[in-house]
Amino acid sequence: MADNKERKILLVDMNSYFASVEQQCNPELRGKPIVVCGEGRTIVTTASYEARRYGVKTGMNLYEAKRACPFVIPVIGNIDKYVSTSLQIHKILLEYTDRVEVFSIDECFVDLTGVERMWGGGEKIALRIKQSIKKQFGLTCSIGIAPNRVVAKIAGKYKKPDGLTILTADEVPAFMAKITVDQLQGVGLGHKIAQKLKYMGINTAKQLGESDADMLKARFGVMGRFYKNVGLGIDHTPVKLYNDEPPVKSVGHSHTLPEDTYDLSVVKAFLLMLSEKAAARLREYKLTGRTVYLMVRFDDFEMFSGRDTLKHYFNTGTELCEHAWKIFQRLLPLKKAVRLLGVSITNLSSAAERQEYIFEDMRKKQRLTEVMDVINNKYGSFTIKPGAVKIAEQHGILERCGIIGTSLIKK
Amino acid sequence: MTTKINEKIKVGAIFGKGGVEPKWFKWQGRRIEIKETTYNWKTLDGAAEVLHFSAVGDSGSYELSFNQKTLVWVLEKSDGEL
Repeated sequence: MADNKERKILLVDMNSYFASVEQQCNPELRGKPIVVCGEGRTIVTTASYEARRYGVKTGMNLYEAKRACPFVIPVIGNIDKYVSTSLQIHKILLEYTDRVEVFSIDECFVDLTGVERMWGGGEKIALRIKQSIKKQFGLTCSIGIAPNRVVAKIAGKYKKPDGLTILTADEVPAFMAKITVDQLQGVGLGHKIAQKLKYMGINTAKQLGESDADMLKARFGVMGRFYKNVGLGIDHTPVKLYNDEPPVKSVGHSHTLPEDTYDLSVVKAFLLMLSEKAAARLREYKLTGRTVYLMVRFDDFEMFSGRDTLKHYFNTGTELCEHAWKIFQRLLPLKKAVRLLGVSITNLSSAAERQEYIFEDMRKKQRLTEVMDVINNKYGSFTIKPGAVKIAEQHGILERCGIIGTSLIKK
Repeated sequence: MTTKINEKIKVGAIFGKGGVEPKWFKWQGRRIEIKETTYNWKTLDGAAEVLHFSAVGDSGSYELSFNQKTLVWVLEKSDGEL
């Protein structure tokens, strides 16, 4: 692999993405403080820059957002819209190279190493990308260009909105000297690690980079060396090809119930719906799993989580629900009302490796699931659905969990 | 305030330049002229590709969808007067 001095990595970071898309859709919202959120009891997913000026932040509930900005306008999000736009933005980036890695719905890495000269250099490419996105969607982005992914990401977030920060290898140390540990969150440092570092008296990237490697290793294990490199602006991770499928580690769904409830039939109905959705995605990825993970949030916001690892792999909603329900029964009798449920499957494997069921009733269930998939893939999700999903619908289940969409455009 | 409608409508649209642009629609006996299509995106409903449009009329904004398999237009939502 080329050393850092020879690489040129570009990071595109869409500005206030969901909110900006909604402001493009509805001109009445432009220039106004808006927040994108889900339906019912929900939190802020994205705040427009106008709302951020009042201190409105991602993660606030609507009550907190309105307290910060009484005239903030809540807009119900539509993940299909944002995914579709993202895919179109990827096409713009793919005009330059196939080494485009989708980091999140609103961030992409582009490896310009070896191709930038064809387009007149990194700065020209960045300006062309900004212009294309603005012209096609009316959206702005911030771009960072640096010798590696870590610094490109920090540079991409450095000036917002509509920023452009370009760094050569020689300029990286001086740039990193201006960066705080909080600004390193999202490039490998989580919030808790950042807090621990600050507690240790390490407040800047420079201090982190200059920290003793053995001390960091003693404190953080093998990640200690990684954090030191982040502080120094060193990173050798390659940018993946666009068509490289990322390894899926877990598949799950969660949902805030329309009302806090002690009603176990409602809880079970929602669990089955979430399990069917998760299992359908698992089958779409041609995967199976054997660890079931259940998350429950109560009306006082206390959380419970439990897991169970089975001896066999599976990928049906009914089986996932059955095991999730067994975990849930550890909470009975309920002392608090249930507010949110989440179900996921981990410990995944390719479906080709799973054992064929021995017993006829399990083989029948497997065949029924396969037929349901064919019908739902042709006519739309949940064209055919288990009866308990209908119960969930009567109690206000949405097609979407929060703002997670049910249909994504295929590439 | 956004109202979910989700009803089939009649639409007058121009097909050209590799795409489709709705120009007016009729709903509950009224004809609503579309001044501007502000945004568009795509989804899949089963195997069918569905085009979605955000559009602005005289009395507000609307969201329309067009199923390319069934050729059905739907008024999904409205922020305007109906």
